[in-house]
Amino acid sequence: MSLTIKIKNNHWTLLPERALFWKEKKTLIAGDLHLGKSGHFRKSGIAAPQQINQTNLDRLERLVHQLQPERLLLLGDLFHSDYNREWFPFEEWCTKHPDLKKILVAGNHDTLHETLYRQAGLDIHEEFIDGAFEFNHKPAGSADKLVNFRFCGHIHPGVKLKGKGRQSLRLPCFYREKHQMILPAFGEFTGLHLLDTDGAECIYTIANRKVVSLKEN
Amino acid sequence: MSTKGHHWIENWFNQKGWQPFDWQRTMWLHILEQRSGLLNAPTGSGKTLALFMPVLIDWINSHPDCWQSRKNNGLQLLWITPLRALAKDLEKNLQQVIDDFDIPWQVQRRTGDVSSSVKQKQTRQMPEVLITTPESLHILLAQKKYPKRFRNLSSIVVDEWHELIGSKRGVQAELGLSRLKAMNPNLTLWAVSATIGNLREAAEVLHGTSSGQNQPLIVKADNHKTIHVHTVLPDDVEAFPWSGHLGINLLQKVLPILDHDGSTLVFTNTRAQAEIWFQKMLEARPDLAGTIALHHGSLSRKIRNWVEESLHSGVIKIVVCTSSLDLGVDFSPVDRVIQIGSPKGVARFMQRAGRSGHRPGADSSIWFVPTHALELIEAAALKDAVDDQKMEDRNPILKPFDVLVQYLVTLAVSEGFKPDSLFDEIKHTFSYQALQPDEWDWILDFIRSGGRSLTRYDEYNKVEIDEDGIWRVFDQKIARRHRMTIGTIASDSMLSVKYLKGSTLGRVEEWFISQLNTGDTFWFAGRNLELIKMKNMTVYVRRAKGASSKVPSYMGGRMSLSSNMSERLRKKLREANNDTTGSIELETVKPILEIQKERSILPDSSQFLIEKSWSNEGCHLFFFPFEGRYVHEGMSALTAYRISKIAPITFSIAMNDYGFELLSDQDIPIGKALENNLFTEKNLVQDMLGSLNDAELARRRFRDISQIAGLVFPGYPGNQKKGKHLQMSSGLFFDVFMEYEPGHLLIRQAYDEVLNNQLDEARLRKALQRISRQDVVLKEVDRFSPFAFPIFVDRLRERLSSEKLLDRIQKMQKQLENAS
Repeated sequence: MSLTIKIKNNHWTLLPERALFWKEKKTLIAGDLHLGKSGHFRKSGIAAPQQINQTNLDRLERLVHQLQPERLLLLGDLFHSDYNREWFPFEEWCTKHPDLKKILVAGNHDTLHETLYRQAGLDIHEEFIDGAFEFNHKPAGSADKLVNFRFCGHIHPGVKLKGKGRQSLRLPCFYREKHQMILPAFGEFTGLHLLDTDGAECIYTIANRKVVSLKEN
Repeated sequence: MSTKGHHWIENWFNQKGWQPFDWQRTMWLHILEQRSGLLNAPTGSGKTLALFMPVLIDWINSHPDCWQSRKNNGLQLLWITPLRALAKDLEKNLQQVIDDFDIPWQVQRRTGDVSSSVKQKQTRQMPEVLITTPESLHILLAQKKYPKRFRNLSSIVVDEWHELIGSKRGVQAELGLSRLKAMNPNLTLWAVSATIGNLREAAEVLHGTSSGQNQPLIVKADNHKTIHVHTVLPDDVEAFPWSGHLGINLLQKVLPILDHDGSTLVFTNTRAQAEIWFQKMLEARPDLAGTIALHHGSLSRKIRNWVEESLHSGVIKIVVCTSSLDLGVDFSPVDRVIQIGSPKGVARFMQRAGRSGHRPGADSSIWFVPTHALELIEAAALKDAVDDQKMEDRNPILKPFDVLVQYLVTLAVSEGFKPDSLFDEIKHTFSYQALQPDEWDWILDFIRSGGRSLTRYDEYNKVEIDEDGIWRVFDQKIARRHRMTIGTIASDSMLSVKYLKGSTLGRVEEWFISQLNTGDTFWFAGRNLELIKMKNMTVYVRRAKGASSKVPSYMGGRMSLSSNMSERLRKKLREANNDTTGSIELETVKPILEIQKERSILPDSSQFLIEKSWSNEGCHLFFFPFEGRYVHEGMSALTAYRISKIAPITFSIAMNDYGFELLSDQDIPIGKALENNLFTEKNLVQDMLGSLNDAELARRRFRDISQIAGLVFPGYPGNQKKGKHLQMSSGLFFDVFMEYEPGHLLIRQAYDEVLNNQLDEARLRKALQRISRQDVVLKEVDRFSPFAFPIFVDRLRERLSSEKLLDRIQKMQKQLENAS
């Protein structure tokens, strides 16, 4: 179950598939897909299951089918490492959606040859600004100085919840600060970086296919 | 027997003024008749001569004219030892004998700490005697043209077999031996083992199932040794702590034990404990500086070598150590041994005691220092154990798929293999005798195609089949990475600790350092250090002044009381209850047992005690089976799971060797659970597996498995960063396999290991049977009893829940809100 919030009078739907939908601009936003990660390992003789890659694409396909976005905005780290053949299923997926405008905000892992991105129909940007919102790969160092509201990825944010009886849980989350929101990594098999809850304005975790607001100041 | 060889050997003994023991002569006879078997002998008993002399006799007899002139004869004797430290001593001793006889043989080591130039020379010309570890043997098997290096091999000795047999290193040894035996069926193979409960089985494990009519022999070195056990008693047991594991309260009573002319080993159970004892002893007795040293597995090899040598030469009189000195320093004179805290098993205690009086015929003396009150009961039990000498079994590990995966790739990297003939070879090892053809096929498929391949885009190619049907690794990068990661001891993420000036002190777990900030001080390698910076997996430090509070605690698995010890413990508890003992330890602990009686009860042999109490953390249930940590781990998960089936509830679980605790934020329906037959054996495995889904034990087991099977790459030595892009945590692997390939054999292995090795299903079943014959006594208590308190303060906790994840989060969220 998703959760829709308002930022600067726009509606943003936080999806349990670890992506974001911008209602006014019909834009689907996802960060850190890390496609090709299993292929990278397999190429080096490490038997990571191949399904990882396909699952990511299937999930993306499902979202596009459900939400019918006009734009897909990818917040960097689209492909995990050097080129390997798992790029092709993604390219095929892209060509299946010729009318979908695909924008990639480049991240530190996005080092493939330009022609590959072009063939897949991706527009590449260092940063992407649309109205009062900006889209980057990395969070801003000092988010307070931001004029626009920023959406970004890179960190793979997660929270550790502690309860009575010394229980704890680790979950992926959308990490909302005053002027920016860090998206969870879209890709499977990417790991979590635990963040301190104190610095956040609000934290939305994903548990059992449901987005839950954890803390609102 | 009087051959030329015998003659020379007897002469040599005469010149030394020695007389061979009868059992040594027996060994010579057996080995010369090419029989194989197991020699049961403790360290320092003369086992080396028993095994080495017949090899020389045979050499002299078969080369009567040229035994003192023939050089470069190729490898004759392979000596496998579990410990690199032992290899060095052994090399010296064997070389000494060879020099005495003026035989132009070479004795060399082939272990992780031998320089690569020596290794390269060995590749061209093997020494006659090679001392190595199971890992290094596999590295030899991973080299091109290895068969010719073993062509002349006639004898193999596997030293300290009792140390290897219960571990995957033992399985690795079995596999290596199976290859050597297949190349050379006439090998003589001997294991050397200290006394364990299952010597016969140990011999069979080493020799595999192919020995047929020729059952392995067992020879016992009958050097009887008297062990004197002293317990260090607290003056006022009521002021003595009920929990804890450091034992520092008794420092003042331990210091006088050090005052004698000879040397003392102080054994602790953890590295942190060793550091603290070292620090406190030095504080209390500054005059010990210069004669006291520290020795544990995290210290650099250089420091440890220096300590061992200084102990040997008599410069150092006292060494505070961990199990790092259980083996090794074979010939060092140690006069006294002190054991701080429970040794957890009889064999370990006896072995440590045996480090003193290290000459045939001399007595051993050991002092036991309890770290909390209840350990006094263990002290009484240990004294009994020393009297009747019944030791623990060491159970062999059966069919670990991860080790087999590694081994197959090892062979594919060097000479390649043909699956059919190799399957036969492997089936003849003890460990893999029950390997099924479908499991074999799965493993072959795993290394060739990386499990199920789904798309035409797959690029997996680890092992390939050449035109002759031989399975090989062609990719040189893969081959190099594999050679580097051979071994079954998974490495933790460790950082080296270095002075700014450059010398290395040792290694420390990453998670400990991550709790520190620059400028913080911590105690390591017996020094107070200040953290300067951290860079590239190295922690730079300098000496710090002033006091320091932090001592690295290490994640090393906590040992569990052996079933032998826990049985003895329960017996002593019974005696304490019946007042039928004159034991000084039990007399001393009596006031604590009185408090137990006051607040709860002291269960007799017909009672099983459960205590229930409340604190601001919630509802606590304490159970006291006295079965050791491992059994409690399984039993606590099992009971938590069964209770959670009655109503949605979440537990956190803690345990020690005496009992376990279930803690929940809501009332635990224990009455109802007992009515439902909480401790029944019925559906045991099913319920255990059910309980494991959330308990994460399998996931933790998978850490080692994934590393051994080559899924997790620990990085290049000295340059962990370079391999970073191929690193992924085993937890992520576990999750994706669980999701996409639940039938994955390595996942199944993780669960099997949890059931068989960690939770010890067989022992758990026995414990449940015992409890089912007892009356369950449920006591509501206001204050934690002396039995419960140590468990309550234990911070290492498991979790188990039957609540829906969402409910739990909402509950936690509420608590979060209430708190702020």
